[in-house]
Amino acid sequence: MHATTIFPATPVDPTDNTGIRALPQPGSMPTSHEQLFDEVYRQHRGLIAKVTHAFALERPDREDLFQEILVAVWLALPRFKQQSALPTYVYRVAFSCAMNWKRSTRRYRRKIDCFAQELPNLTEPADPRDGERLRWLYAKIHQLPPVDRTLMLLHLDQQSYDEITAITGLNKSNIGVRLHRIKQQLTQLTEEIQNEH
Amino acid sequence: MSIEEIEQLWASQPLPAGQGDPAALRGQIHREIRHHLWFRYFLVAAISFCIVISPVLFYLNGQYAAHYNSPLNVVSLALRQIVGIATLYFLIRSLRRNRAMLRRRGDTLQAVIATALANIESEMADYNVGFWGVLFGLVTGGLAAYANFQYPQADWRPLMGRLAFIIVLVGGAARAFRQHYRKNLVPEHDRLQQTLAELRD
Repeated sequence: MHATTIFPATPVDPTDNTGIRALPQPGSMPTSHEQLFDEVYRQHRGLIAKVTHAFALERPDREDLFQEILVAVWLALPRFKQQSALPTYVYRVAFSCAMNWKRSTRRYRRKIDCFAQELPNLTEPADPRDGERLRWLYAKIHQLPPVDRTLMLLHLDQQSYDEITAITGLNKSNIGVRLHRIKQQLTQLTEEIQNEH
Repeated sequence: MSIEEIEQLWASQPLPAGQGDPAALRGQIHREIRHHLWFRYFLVAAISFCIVISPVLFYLNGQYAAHYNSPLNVVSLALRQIVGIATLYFLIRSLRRNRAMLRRRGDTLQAVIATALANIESEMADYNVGFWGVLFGLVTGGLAAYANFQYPQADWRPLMGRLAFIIVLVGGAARAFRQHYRKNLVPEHDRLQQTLAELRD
């Protein structure tokens, strides 16, 4: 598959008589499918990894889902028209893929060699205690219904209500009510654990 | 742990920047996509080839053995062509469903789940038609076997053997389809319906 240009090519500067098209400036919007994908891989791989960790608990499942999302992102990027920010678009693709994902052992066995090394392990921070608490947090998020899970993840990633609306299609008041309930549930769970100890 | 502490914990996650080679990863993704698609396109090509080649073979057979031109053989060929065209139609519908899902990938979750639900309802409708198609397949297979074995009419045992094979083959396929419908499609439909209801408040 070759590169597909999805944005107009950089215009030739009329004052420049060399006829050579100006190269994109560093930090400007990437212009091709492949450049966009590279940017997603470099800048937003953590975002995909978080969605993966929230929707799949075991390492093999996570690798499988991570692969599915990467393929879905690659397929969806030609339709990215800059009407939303790139991370918002990647969130949409990642969540829609995660919500429709079904684990397939056969496919996983075939794909593991290709993608396994690409998935960052988010639950191994410098402090081992934080790692344990993060694993617990992901397990609790995983227990939430898929829509609540999505909302909690977006909230923890500090997405605004406008962005959450753009990703999920839910209205802002509904998002507020739901997030309030989910936060209460989570804090209640942590209190129960602390009381047990 | 308060919600603020949870947010702090969340922020402590190590997020290494992509250090691998994106170009190599793209190559792997290309291979993956090709692997996903080749079997379906192979099926479409194979069935199309069968639809085209069957009448040609029928005509050539008729040139060398006159009894192949009997009305029974013509009816049998027509039925097989109907089965082939129907299978091709359902395969193309399945490819179109995949494409519709692909087009929606970057939309809001609400729109994606609505498309996924519409897709699964369309697939279930196809399966419901397909169950009747099993009966049609049995008749077609039986008739083809009978048309081939009526000359010479010396022994019925080969015909019985072939009929039994057709029943086992078509029956097995029907059972597998039924199981897929009940174990996968129905629960998936219910799950998507519930998710969509949650997303629509």
